[in-house]
Amino acid sequence: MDTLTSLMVLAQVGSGRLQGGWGYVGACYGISVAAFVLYSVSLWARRPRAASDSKE
Amino acid sequence: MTPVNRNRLVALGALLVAGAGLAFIAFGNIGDNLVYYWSPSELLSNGDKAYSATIRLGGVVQPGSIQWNEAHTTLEFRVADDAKPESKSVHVRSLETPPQMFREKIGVVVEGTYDQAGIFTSNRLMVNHSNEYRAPKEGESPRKWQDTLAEGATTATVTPPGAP
Amino acid sequence: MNKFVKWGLPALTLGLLGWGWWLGLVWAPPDREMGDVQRIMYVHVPLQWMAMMAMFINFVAAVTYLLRQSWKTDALAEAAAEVGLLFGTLGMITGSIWGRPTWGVYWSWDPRLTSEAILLVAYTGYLVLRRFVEDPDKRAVWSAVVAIIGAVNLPIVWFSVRWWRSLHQTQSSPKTVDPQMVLPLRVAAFGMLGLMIVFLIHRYRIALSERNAEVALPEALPSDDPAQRASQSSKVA
Repeated sequence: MDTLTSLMVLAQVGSGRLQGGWGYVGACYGISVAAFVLYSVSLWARRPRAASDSKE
Repeated sequence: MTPVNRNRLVALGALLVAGAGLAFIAFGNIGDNLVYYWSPSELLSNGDKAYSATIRLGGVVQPGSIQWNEAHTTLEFRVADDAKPESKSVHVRSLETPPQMFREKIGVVVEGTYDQAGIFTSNRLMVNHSNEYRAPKEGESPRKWQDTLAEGATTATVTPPGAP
Repeated sequence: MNKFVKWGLPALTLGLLGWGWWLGLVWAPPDREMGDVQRIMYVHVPLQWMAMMAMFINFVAAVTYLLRQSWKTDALAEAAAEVGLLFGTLGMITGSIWGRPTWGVYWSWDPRLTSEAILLVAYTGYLVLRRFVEDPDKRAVWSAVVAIIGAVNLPIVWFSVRWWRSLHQTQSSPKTVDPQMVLPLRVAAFGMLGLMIVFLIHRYRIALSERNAEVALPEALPSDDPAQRASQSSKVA
């Protein structure tokens, strides 16, 4: 019984292992990609329209 | 003065200010005044000064000191200077479920107050990860630890997967 | 802009970043203790490296501008500060998300996080200053001074985890990271470097064309010469 309780306790506290957490990973990559896309759009919107570009 | 020379002087001045600022922060003893946390031995040697102010205490969870009451979510453990059993330590009481990374011998920083009874009441428990990143060892499977735990609980024979 | 810069570099960048992130998210093993959450490393660490690199480019451009006046270095400084701020902000957001499951908190005023926050505020201030000064010459000189003094934050952020006690761990090295994790990190970092360069080139072109437009039309700027101002207002009237 003691082993069982200690194992149940370990299941929650003290194992030192992180379980799951893909949501955090997804949030990090998602936010970064979204920001890169938005920034690219902003660069495109601000692109120089002067004669230098049309010469190409 | 020509604008070119003026700009060069401006550059020199800015670089000097920047260098002086950096040197002041790097070699001045700013670190002594802005301490993010106290170690257990520092806390114990500070005596009365440590009581009742909100402080941070940092160290290592002493092996074998974790007591977790699931029903009341009270967690008690000792924070020590290092993982050696004889090093100085402080009794910490926390009323929250700790982060999953929490275990014996891991670095922690607790925020709270220290009282006359020698108990540090923490209202914020943070776990400090090392700079090591390792693949699981042969036979270990981080995604299945939960399952092996459940199996272990039913048979009650296997060693806890947390053990090395 | 030649064809490689316009199409080849972005394609290479996307390829490297995609490969690096695939390696990191699928191929690499999870960490022994952190599990799958450790995979945040492959986006957080390259972001912070590139933020620091962009801010260092900003510093070099600012010094170069003061030594030898040119709108090119001024435009590069502006571009590098904005790109650096973007990467640094994302680095802070991803770091904060990583902190929640591992440390238990999104934020704590530890030396690394505090110095990083000051760094981002400094570069925000730099960009705001550039917006508020209308005279291109004054803007370039003043912002270069801010850039040089702001760059002090870079070594402070880098060494903060060594100089002071912090919640954030010290820098990892290939010795403290398994090879299966070093490879995705390297590939993702080169991908991020490519992305930083692509952003920098396009932002630089915007800044340079704005500078050229400003300098080409001196009468469009407010003048300190009262006679000239009077003649302009009479024209308007």
